[in-house]
Amino acid sequence: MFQIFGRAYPGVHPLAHALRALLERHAGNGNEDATVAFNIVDDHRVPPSREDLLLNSLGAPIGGATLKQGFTDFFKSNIRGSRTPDFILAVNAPNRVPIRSGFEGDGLQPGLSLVRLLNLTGLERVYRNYALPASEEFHGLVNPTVDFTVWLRDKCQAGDAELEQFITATLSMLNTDRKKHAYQPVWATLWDEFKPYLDHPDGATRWRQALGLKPDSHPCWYAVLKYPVGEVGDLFRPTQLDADWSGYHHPSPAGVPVWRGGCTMDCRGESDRPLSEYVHQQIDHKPEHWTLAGGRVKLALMEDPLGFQALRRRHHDLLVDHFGEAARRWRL
Amino acid sequence: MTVEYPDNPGGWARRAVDRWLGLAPAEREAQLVRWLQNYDEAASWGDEPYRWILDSLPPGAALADAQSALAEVIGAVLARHPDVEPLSAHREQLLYNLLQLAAAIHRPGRLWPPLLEMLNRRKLGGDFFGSDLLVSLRAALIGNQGDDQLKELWLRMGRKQEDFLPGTPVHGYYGVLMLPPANEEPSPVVAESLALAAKDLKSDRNRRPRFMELVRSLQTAFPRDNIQWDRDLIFMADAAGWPRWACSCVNMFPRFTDRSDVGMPAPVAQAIRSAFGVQIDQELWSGCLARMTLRGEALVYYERVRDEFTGNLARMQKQTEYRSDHAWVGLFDMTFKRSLNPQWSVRPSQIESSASFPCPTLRPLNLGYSPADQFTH
Repeated sequence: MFQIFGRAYPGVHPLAHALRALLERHAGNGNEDATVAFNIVDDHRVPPSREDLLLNSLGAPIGGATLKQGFTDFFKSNIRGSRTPDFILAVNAPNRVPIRSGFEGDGLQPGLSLVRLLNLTGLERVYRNYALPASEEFHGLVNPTVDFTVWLRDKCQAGDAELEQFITATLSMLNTDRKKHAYQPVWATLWDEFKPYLDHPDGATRWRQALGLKPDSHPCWYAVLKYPVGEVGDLFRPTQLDADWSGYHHPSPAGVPVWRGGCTMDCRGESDRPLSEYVHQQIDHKPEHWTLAGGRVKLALMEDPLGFQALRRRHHDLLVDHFGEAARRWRL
Repeated sequence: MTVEYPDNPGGWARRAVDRWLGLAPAEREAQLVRWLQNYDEAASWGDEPYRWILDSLPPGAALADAQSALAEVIGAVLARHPDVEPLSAHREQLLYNLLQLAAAIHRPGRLWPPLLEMLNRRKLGGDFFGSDLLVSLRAALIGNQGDDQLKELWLRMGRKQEDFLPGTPVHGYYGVLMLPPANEEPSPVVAESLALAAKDLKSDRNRRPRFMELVRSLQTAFPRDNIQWDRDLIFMADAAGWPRWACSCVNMFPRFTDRSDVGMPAPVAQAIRSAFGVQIDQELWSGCLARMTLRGEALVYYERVRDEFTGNLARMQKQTEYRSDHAWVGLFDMTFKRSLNPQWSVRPSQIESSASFPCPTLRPLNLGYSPADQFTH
């Protein structure tokens, strides 16, 4: 019987044909479409209520190509560009990570720290939108012909005081912008788990790899932000639906408690344990979120030593080693 | 952006709270004080106003913004000393709802100083329809600790020596659990506060499930790998002298550094020492648990006993409501004795040849048993 989202269906599931087509066409050759199809088959964390939202959005009939396009459209409308993304709604209640309060009950200690990588290179459009002549930090981009890559490099390689000013202005810009434009979700991990990577000789390249961020087509500048769990509002365990059509996401095994979040897939394949991963909405960041993380801004390269298929396999082996045989899957 | 609210009580409440968030600070304070006394939109609900407000807050990041706004207003009201200055006609109701609301949101930057001042004034008293206001203050303090000033108070509560704030050792433990993390770690006194809570649960017939709940709340508050938690709990029990019955509440087969560096209940260690000649590296938790470095057949035997017991325990917990530490001890004894039986499929040959091999049960868990007897065969 064919499973979808980790559940068996008595009849023919509306996605079964499309998923089977993707799996049969691409399985075993490192194709990202096939791995996402595997993830959809496997991701037990997607509740039936969110599955219904996806199916309603996709319509019928669904072919392999239609599924990919429809899935991406669904992500854009229901997650990325939504002020009330599906993951914060009641339909996603099983993935809500409890946070402790003064009352009894389980939950993460709100004073624990999360960490996220802020991709400054990915903010070109936002920087240009806020590049007014009066803007102290961004006026250099008023001229649309200015090379953003060079401008950003100069900013990031400036002295400590200038860099702090630039990051402070960037965070202030994002705090303003998040109230006008939605851009979800934020991916975060626990500071304690990420800390060993901070001073890795490969710098931001290793940061990106440890967090399993899909390589971009060009190097990116990343800033590290550290902030308390208690400041994010609601926190969630991610699902494939929150990760777009990305094979760099891998469902965490069944039986792992929701408060452990998901599991990052190390793009280097060297970690001895997966890091916890969580999602939340964009929040206001303060300058101290950056300074408390050590005031780090570094350039990450996008070259990974392992091929995509090899790193998926290694990640799968790591999950089995870490969580036991229950984490083993019938396919990668 | 225009928000559409459902035309039902939940939607009306959401709209009222969203409008409140848009008010000027002084108006917010006045409105909140009225709401907390069950006036205006908060009137005539089944729940107390603080619950009505919490249920009406927006989800996601907007929740964080709303909590910050609430903390500002709660902080401002607390600064007016509502415990000593009458602010309203319904003092008890206002204080009860104000403190309960503070307990539910974590904003130590804004709430810790005024809550601490209220505690130090020692003027708060009374109850609201049977709910002690000091209990609400305790909850608000637990949830908003900005430093570790109350560490000693929580331990006093654990020892039942606290003379102002009411609470049991379990409440003291929750207070310690919410002390600000030091380097992302729980407060160093968490082991001691768990020991005090365990001591208090001694004569509770549900002590095992109740203590397991406390341990689970620690593991949930500070997520770590199970392997790491298993090891850390043993070290905590050892350092703080947890009672022996609490052995049944943790994994007594922890892995320390690698697969061969393992811990086990004392009887298993005795069996392995007698049968395989492996020395005990370390005795922990007053001799309840032994740490050994195992390889070859000794490791195989250990892992089979561990897996058999873990499987039996999971089945017992699934199939029966009876979850006492006595049941745990009985199950362990049964599993362990079976492992010494020639019929046990995984029993290593060395044990068969050990004619004089003793068959110790898990006496270390029985109160009054001397730990000195455990490793003297």
